[in-house]
Amino acid sequence: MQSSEAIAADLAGSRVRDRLVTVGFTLALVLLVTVGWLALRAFDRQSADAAWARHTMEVLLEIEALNSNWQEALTAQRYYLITGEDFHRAAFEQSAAAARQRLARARSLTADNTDQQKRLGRVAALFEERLPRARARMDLRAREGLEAVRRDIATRGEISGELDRLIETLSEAEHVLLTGREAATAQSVQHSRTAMIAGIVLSVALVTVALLLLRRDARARRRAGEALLEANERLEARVAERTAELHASEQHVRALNADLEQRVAERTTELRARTRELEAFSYSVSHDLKAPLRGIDGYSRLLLEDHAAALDQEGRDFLGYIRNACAQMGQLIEDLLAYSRLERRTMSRSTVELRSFVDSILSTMSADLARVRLENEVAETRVQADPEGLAIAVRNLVDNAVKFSAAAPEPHICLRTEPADGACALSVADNGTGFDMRFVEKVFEIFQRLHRAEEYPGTGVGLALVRKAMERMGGSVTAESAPGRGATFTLRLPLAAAPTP
Amino acid sequence: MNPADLPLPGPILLVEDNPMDVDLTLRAFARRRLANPVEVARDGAEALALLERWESGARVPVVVLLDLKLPKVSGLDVLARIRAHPQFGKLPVVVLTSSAEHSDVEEAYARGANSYIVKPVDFQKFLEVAEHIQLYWTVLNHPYPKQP
Repeated sequence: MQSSEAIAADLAGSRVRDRLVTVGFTLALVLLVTVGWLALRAFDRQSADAAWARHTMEVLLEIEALNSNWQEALTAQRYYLITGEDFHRAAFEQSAAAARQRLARARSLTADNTDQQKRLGRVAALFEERLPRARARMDLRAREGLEAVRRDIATRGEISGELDRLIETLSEAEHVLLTGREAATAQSVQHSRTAMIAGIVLSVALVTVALLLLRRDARARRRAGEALLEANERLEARVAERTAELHASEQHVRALNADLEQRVAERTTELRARTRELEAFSYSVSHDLKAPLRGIDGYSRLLLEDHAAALDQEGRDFLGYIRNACAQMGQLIEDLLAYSRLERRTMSRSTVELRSFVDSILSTMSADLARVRLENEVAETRVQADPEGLAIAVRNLVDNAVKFSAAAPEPHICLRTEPADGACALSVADNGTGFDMRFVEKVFEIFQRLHRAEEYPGTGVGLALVRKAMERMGGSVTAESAPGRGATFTLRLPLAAAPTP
Repeated sequence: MNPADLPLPGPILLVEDNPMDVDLTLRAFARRRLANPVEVARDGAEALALLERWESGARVPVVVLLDLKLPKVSGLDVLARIRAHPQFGKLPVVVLTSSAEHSDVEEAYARGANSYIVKPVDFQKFLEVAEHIQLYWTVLNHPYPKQP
């Protein structure tokens, strides 16, 4: 396993190596070109030198030939001088002509070399000077005989001498030139060789190094590729793993969902069963619980009416108590049924205009309100409510207010509406007994009473009905009170949308 | 006024299983000097059996006071059977029951009840109810013409 940092380092190294390899190959190329150029130059030089040596050899050959012609001519002269035979003179002339020819040839060959031209010039001059002298001596022999020649030689010396030496010198000079030129060539060739060998060695080294670097680079690249492949495989494996995990969790969620749905269905069935039970219960209560009460009340009354004489006062009082208890029980059953009806029935949601709604409720309660100073400040407001539930709530609040303000010297009830945060607050205030705010939650609980039944008759269901109704229609009810200072109950109802024209 | 001098008014049929309720109802009607005889069926089956007797010539009641919760055949079924009867389908049926449940009221009207009255617990009030029923259904109400 190779980390990505290592791969990055490898690749960074690879970039450096790339540059080195480029530089190496370029250098090697330059060196090879230089070596090639050197080789070409050495070759040129060698071939030039070879041409030159050939030329020098030619010159040398010509000079030697000239020398030998000249010696032949001198020999032929001497023979003539001794013998006087004409064919020796002819031989002399023949050799002299050959020598002249050689000389001309040598001069044309050395036209590029001023030194040799100079020397050859001098040879030519001497030759042209000695040739007439040799002829003159031969003429002397022909005219005056051998003795005269001997005398001439004794006085004027040999003809050859200086020319021989000159030719010798010329030959030697050419030899020296040739040798020097050959040495220079050999040295230059040696230098070229050295340079070429060095260049080739250096090139080979550079190419080798570059190749090594390339190999290393290739290795690094291969490693990086392998690492990449491996990383890819790891990634794919992880993706597969994740996918599997996701799939598993999706399955899990589905299972949970199915389970939830199953449970919801079960609960719904359960709830339906409960509701059915509750309905059956309410049905029984409403049908069967009141019949015995009616019996008790009915026969109590019949007793009082038809058999009053058979009873003393106490007996009659007892029957009164029984009938009161029956009335209370009947009311309790009615309230309970009303409460359970609120729980069971589906709420409607309609627009209710509060002012006319409250007016119509109050008009049905006028008998109860006869002793009360009623202030109705309900403004025209359209709210969203379940009319039946709202009627129950308002009627119970007004009932409550009437009941608890009855003992006040001047019973006073005030109904008013106020806007409250996008809702409407409908309050019912009285100046009655009130209650301690510590018990504010209790007043809304079913069967909870803050006062004794003798003081304020009731079943303890009224305010529970109010709260239940408000909760079910999406509103709320709150209370504000202090002992002896009356109570204010406030219903909060959502405002209805503005009526569309 | 002597009731015997007048033609006998049509009977009232009371379908009620609770003997105490039967007794009290009879007493209430008696108190109000009700001229109409009161017949009693103690359960739904008995009420249905009466239909056959009416077919064979027995006096048909002017009004049926029908309790809903009855043994054997429920009040609602009795109501439905009366309404389905070709001859007595228009017979006035007043549901007289303890229940004020919405479902009961709705069902009763759905099956063709002419009226729905909740029996009060208070006997005084019950007497008033009995009086109203008698006055309304046996005196004021004009019944559907008799079938030939």
